[in-house]
Amino acid sequence: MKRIYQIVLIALLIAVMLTATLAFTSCKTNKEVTITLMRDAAEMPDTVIAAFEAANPGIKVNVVENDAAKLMAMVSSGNPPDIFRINAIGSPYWINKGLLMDLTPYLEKTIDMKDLFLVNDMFRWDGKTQGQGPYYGIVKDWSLDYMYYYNKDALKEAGVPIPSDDTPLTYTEFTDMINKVTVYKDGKVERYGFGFTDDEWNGYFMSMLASKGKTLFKENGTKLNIDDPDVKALFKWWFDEAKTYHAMHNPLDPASDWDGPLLQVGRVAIMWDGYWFGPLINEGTTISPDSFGFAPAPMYGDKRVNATGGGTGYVISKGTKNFDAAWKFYQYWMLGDEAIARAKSGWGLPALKSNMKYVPQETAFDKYRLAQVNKELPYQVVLQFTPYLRDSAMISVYNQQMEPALKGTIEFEAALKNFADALDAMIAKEIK
Amino acid sequence: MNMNKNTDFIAPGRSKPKSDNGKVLTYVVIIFIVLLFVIPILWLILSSFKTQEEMVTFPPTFFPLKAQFQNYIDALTKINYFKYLGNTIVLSLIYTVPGIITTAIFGYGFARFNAPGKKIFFNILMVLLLIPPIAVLIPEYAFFSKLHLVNTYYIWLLWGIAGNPLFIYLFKQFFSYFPKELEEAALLDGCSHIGVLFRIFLPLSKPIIVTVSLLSFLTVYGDFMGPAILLSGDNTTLAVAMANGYVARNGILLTPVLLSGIVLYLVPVLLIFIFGQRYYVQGFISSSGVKE
Amino acid sequence: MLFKGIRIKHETKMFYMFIGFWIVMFIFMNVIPMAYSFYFSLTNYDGLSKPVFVGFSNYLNLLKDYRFTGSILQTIIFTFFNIVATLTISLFVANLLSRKIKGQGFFRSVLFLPYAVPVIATVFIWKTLLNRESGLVNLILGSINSSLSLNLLVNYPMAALISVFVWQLGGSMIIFLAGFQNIPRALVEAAEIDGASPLAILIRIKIPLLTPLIMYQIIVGIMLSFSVIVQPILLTSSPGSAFTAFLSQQPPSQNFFTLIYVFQQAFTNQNFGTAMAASWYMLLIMIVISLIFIRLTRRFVFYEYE
Repeated sequence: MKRIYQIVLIALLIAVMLTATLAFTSCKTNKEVTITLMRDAAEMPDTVIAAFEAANPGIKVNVVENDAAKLMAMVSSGNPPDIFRINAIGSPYWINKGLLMDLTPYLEKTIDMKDLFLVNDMFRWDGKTQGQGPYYGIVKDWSLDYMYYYNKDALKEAGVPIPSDDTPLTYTEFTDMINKVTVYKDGKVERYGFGFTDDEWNGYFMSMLASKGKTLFKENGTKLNIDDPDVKALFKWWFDEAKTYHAMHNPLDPASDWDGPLLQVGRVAIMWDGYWFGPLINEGTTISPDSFGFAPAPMYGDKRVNATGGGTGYVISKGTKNFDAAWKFYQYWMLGDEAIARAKSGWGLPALKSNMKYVPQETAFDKYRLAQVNKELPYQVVLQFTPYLRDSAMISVYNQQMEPALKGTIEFEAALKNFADALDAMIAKEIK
Repeated sequence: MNMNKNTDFIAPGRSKPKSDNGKVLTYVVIIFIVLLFVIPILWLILSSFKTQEEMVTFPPTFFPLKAQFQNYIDALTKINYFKYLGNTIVLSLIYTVPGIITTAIFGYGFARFNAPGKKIFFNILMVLLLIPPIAVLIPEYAFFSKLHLVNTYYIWLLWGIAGNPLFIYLFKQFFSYFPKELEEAALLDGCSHIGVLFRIFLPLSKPIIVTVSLLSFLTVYGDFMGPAILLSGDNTTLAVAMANGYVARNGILLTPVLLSGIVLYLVPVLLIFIFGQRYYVQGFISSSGVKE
Repeated sequence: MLFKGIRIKHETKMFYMFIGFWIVMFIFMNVIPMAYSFYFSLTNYDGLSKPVFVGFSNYLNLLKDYRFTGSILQTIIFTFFNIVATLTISLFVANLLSRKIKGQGFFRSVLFLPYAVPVIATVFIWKTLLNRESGLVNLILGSINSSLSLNLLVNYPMAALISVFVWQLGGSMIIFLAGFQNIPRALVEAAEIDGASPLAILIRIKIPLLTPLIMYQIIVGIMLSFSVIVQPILLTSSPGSAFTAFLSQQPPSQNFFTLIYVFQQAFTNQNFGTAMAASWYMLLIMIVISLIFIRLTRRFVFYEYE
């Protein structure tokens, strides 16, 4: 009697709860095809997805929020999303592992390949060189990331000459400008020298080295090129700028918010991040956009170069079981009206040259910044990362290893060596 | 020792009147501490009414120039706030309700019976208390994905049924104070042990049930890492949705909107807390380790 | 004799009937994932390709990694100060609130409230409070003297982190309040009559009676302190990177705890093997510390019953 009582009770309970949970797990009808999409909620709001589903009955989109750890978890359990978002610069890693679908034949059917900007080549990989071979994705929009906006009043206050619109500054002149423009009083940074994308800065290194014809990784991407004096000098420079509070995202005196609001109120003088920052300047209420200038990328060496450091785009997973549905969505989001809408927003340049006419040119400021971009376009190069690391790895390991050095716990040289060793070890593990 | 005064057990508080100085000092200290504790929340509310630019101007401002109620509207509209709130509440219930039943059963078992091996299992229970759930999150993800349970609420159901060691311990303590006679009388009348538990012990255990429910509910409501790793998309909880959703273009965090979202997020917590805190204190009194 | 024999068997049967299900679930939900974790710790699993058995090399390599050993030290230091600060203050506050004063219920509620505030909310509250620029602390200091400001999050990160936990001592306070309530008035009265000062009563009578509770809270406190991961990362995280870059944020070395090391190894460096080995080390150290502590203070804990 007692035993039955107990069992029945728990069984009943489980039954009740199971019904409840069933009500909350998504169910699939047999006629529908479901594709899993990993998206960034801010750039792809639910309305976009809903519109797609309305126009394509029979395809249901299962949405997963963009998260690096989540992506790894899904991939490692053999269940990657059908469509997901990665940076072009880190794409060789994914391609090398056989995780991405070759989209070239499908792209060729839909668009004129010559209409693609050079930046899309960052999604090309032939097994050896990034920028050659089939296309595994395209960018959703892009920017020449090493041009910089500068606050004219801040420069004037510091007595720094306004940089030319046509001739890039040398790296020495650029550093000089940054150092002079920083305002540091009473142990507080009132104005930072420059801001940058702190989770994508390996690109700065690579583009500056490209200006000297050098690369960040040597021996086919298997080792960090740390012994090269130019590379070492760059790391030292980056480190020193953080240590002296000139760079914005330094752990020694962090600001209470990110670069955008700070630029808007004049607390950071230079935004070294490319075209896409424009709308933020337009939206700022404290400083008028006309007080900002937009200069070409500084030159580390003799060659004038510019590039994209991230190149956010979308890819389709190789193991997808619903390629047709996934490709439909891909076209919708990347090549159709949505791409035009993105171009119109002014947040980035379109992947297709033919969409350039939609880039905003109403205000004087918008006209000006577009004109500056056009001047830089001929100098664009494709940056090359190593296929053995994810693009965020270098930054994470840098943060891990260099932070004690910034605080003075260990010497810069020792920390740099630890950093290089850690990175090389990760690469070596990947190769095995 | 002078034993003239009546020193029987007196209800707490009715001691002889303290000196006025001592009382005033006590009040001052308490009020000071309370202020310290309340200020962070007040500052949160104040900051949630500022614009993002106001938060970074230098020198900083104390009050917002103009109260930005828009932040709150954004907080409710940028993500489907009420849906995620609903998800969170449902998830908490799925964990809490079965959990109470099973932990009561397990606590009863540990409290009222002796058996060979009991000590070993009790020690295992205590050791389980020591394992931070977060440390096993990664192997648990691998485990659950093999079972195809990832992104379902079944995980919480299983966790609830398995019984949280702390709650089992609380029930065990509580039940161990019930006199044996109570149980024996019922058994002699033909009641089964499980009947004793449900018909006699549990109705007397209101404080502990409320305590466990509160703690249980709050654990799930406030959990971030668990849902972040194990749930996704529409199924996720408010904590994760807020973290990912209050962003502008290019994934940058909208701080004031997040702060408003957090203020709203705290409202149910406050409500539950005000309602249940009386029981919560009782619950701990009754299962504390000091016998009277 | 025979009767007693049947009785014992019956009790055993009942025990296992009640606990049986728990044992099953415990094996299913705890043992299996832990076994998985141990298995991974003996491989070089990277989350994508097939794991390869490497024996105990992960464990040995960890001992050579200065960041791992450093993190263990920091975790222990943090645990110590966190427990000391939280328990001392909550004991003191509970003592204050255990007396009959007007508004006792109200004060208790207000002090308990922060305990119920969920983790991410807490972190952001304290971030906006302590940040060097627009935080309340520096606002007040700045209005006193414009050159006065504390860069708390940078210069005293562990102290800042511990303040967060002290703010949430409500749970601990309630436990102590319960303990105080259960102290027989008779004892306190007797001591007061004998002219003992409130401080002496506190130290000589109340605290010894509370030692089981203190013990319990310390053991739980060790576990909770070792489980801390979200607050140290987010408290000093770069603003604007929100949560998607959660794991590439590096807390200052003072706050770099072993669990953070574990997650970074797993998700950033993709060394699941090393991550699991590190978490086993962590578990071992937690248990050892607890056992040592229990042993050492056995003399001081005053149990009235088993």
